Amino acid sequence: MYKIGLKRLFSLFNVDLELFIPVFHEWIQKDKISNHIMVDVADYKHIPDGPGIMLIAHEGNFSIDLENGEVGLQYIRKQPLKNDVINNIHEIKSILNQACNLLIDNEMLGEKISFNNQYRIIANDRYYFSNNKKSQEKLLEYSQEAFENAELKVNEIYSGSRLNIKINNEV
Amino acid sequence: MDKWKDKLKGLIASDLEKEISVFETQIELMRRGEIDDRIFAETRLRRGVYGQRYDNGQRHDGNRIRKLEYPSRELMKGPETVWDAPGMLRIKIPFGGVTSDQLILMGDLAEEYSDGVLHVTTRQDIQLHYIHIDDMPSVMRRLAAVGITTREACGNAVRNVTACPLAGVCNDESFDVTPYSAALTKFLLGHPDCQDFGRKFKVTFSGCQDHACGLTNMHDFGALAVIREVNGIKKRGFKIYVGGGLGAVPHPAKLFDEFIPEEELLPIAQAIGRVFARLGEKKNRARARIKFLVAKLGIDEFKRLVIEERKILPHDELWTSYINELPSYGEEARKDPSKFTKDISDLKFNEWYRSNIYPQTQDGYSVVTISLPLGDISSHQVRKLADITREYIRDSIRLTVEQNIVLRWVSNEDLYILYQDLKKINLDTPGAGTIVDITACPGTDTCKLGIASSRGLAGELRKQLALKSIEMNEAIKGLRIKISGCFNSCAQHHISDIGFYGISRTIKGYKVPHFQVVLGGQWDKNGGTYGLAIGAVPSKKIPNVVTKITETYVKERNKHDEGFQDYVKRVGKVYMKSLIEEYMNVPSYEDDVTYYSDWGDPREFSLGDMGVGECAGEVVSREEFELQIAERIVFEAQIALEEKKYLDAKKKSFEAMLQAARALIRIENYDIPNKPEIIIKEFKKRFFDTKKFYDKYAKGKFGRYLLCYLDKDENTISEDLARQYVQESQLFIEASHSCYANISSEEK
Repeated sequence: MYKIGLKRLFSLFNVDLELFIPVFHEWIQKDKISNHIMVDVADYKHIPDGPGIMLIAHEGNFSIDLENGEVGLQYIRKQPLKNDVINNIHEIKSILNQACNLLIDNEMLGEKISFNNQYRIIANDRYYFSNNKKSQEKLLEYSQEAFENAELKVNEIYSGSRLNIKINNEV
Repeated sequence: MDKWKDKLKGLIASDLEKEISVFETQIELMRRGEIDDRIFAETRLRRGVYGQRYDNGQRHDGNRIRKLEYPSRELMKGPETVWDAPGMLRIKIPFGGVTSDQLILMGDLAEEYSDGVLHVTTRQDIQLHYIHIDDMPSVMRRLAAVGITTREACGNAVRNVTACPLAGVCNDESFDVTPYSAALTKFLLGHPDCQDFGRKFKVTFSGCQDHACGLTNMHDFGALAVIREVNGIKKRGFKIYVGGGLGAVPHPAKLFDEFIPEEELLPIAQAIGRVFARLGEKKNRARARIKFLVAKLGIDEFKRLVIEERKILPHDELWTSYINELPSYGEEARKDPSKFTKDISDLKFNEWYRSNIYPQTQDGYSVVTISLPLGDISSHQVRKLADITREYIRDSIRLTVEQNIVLRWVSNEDLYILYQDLKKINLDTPGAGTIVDITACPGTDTCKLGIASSRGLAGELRKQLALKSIEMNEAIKGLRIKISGCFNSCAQHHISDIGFYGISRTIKGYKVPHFQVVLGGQWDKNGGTYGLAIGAVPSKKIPNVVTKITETYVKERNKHDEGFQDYVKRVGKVYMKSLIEEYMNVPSYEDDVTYYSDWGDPREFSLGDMGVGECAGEVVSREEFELQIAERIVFEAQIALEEKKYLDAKKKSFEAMLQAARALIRIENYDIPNKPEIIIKEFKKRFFDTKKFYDKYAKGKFGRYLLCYLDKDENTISEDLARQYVQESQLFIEASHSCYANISSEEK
């Protein structure tokens, strides 16, 4: 199971979304994300509850996600990873945090952004994780193992929704 | 094997499962190199699997062209189409009718395989982008499990059958065309007589003549509902139109028959399909749409051939079997009808109510339009929307060609509470069907043919216009803007009040994104009149053009009730062009670099083709200057057309092409005499035969417009033909600009 999405929330976001367009283009130009074939930047800032600005890569997509008004950097993995679920989550977390650090270090964004230690994990494979109680428990178990001391809370589930869990790693 | 195959066993209709399995096998054969890549490309297109920008495995990153080093390496899924490169899936939604279950599923698929966004197209389809070819069978099976097929969504086939989104609830329609469009969809899907077309075939249904409705005027086959009294009995039938189409060379549809009775609808469509398959152009794709066949044969001869074909068709029970089921067809409301009596002081609601509500012909019910910015909705929003719709209606949801969603059969007393629910998921945008509700094709965002950023421009215009909308004059509010990324008119720019299509210009060696400004198109009357281009403006100045045109219109219109189309007609295109001329100039790269990139894309526009001009003091090169003269002449041709001087329009169109061709020839043969025969001969030798004048996708199409001109010896010509010559001349000049840009960049 590798189709996992992980979103890390901003604690400070005092910046126009549009600024992420040149930032992501620069990542492509300078190959900033290792082991990723970066394809293009998609501008979805007109969707108020959508993926904002997205960096499309063959292996997975990065976006300044706006869902439910919670702004964060999200990475959704598309291509297989070689490990078990727990280690895949660790690897996805590492890729996401690499991208978070790039944003923090970016001169254009300066001190206008910062991240807290809260995440949201998404099970984005409906074959292995149907929208039901059993799958939810399984995802909770995996998430607890991957984020050892974190406080976990199951997010709202609605029709067709994917399972998603809020992870507060600041406790 | 696709893991979903077993999981969905029993939920997928056997014919759909068989098709998907066949496609899955073809994917595997292609992977092993056992199918010709051209054949596989057409195969996947007929399954709705389309290419996307950068799928040739390279992309200009703003500094240089970079190879995208995918793991699949040399494996291809079509000519110049890399296996691992993400692609688009077009999902057919017949007549735009969709259920809440289907919306939820598509939301899930977008999130799992695509980029979390569903895009509503200008033909009532849904498109998902950035999908890997290996994932397509799973996506198709999951769609099939909720009754959706992507078959024949692309390729040389019968595309999605569209219909008026108000069909069945409209106040002006003759009757509800929905069940007829559903029946024709089912009948033509995979029909053996529709498998050998030279190009695509688009079908639509309208319920009335006067509104935009199904846009029959711009379709290959348009059926307009008509009731006629036959022997004292009211009988249902259709006014049939054929051979309409926009694209590079727009053709208004021809009336095929005033009244085809309902039982003849399917067999006539089949007969038309057979004639098109047999006689339509197959080799030259640029002239393979049915509009060219109809124009070549003339509508009378075309009709005669179809009637002959109809006579010899073997009888098919399907032609009429659906008619018996018509009385039972209909949508049901979830709630009882009610009156909207509340006095709501919520200003935003009232603004939304004015533009987004249509009172149905059925008392007590309304149609609610959900205005989607650029036709996009996120997975999260669409699933929430599906849940909301279940509270108020029963699956009476439709997609529109203006890239919106409509909810039908909403009981009037629910309107305010529904609005509040939509507001919670940010789907409460007002201004549906107004100037803010801009239609745009994907353009350079994802389309391989896109020249300029139609979505970038649309987003910017939408933002600017929304800020002004509260104080905006009602006459401006009522206008429509449609933006295509290239001349192919996917956003239907020809039939909007103000239309734009993307082009590029080369200024002292640098490319600059531009849009042609198209005025005079008509959205009503089924897309009744096509607009014409009046001039090219740099992309960054288009917002100024919109402001200038709309404000001048409000100031100068007669008696405050003159429509925009009438105004443009009265003042003339020369005047309209004079209004925007101040925005046509492009400052040098050194003076203002912002002109040299597109909206929403910081990369320098087509940087790979750029170079710094050598003669810093020269404003324009000789070639650019002469090409500008050609533009002026074609503009004069448009004026002649407007004044109904059709032969003059033809003559000017030809003269403009000669001027452009001569400008190019003079690069190699400076002293070429100004004689048409010599120019054509030299153009053929130096530019056409050498393929210097070839367009990557259109090939030699534009060059042939000039080469074939001397064969057209007409003493009188129709308005349609004159219009066609003007359009062709315009395209030839655009191609001359591209050719010159290529030559200059090679020289540098």
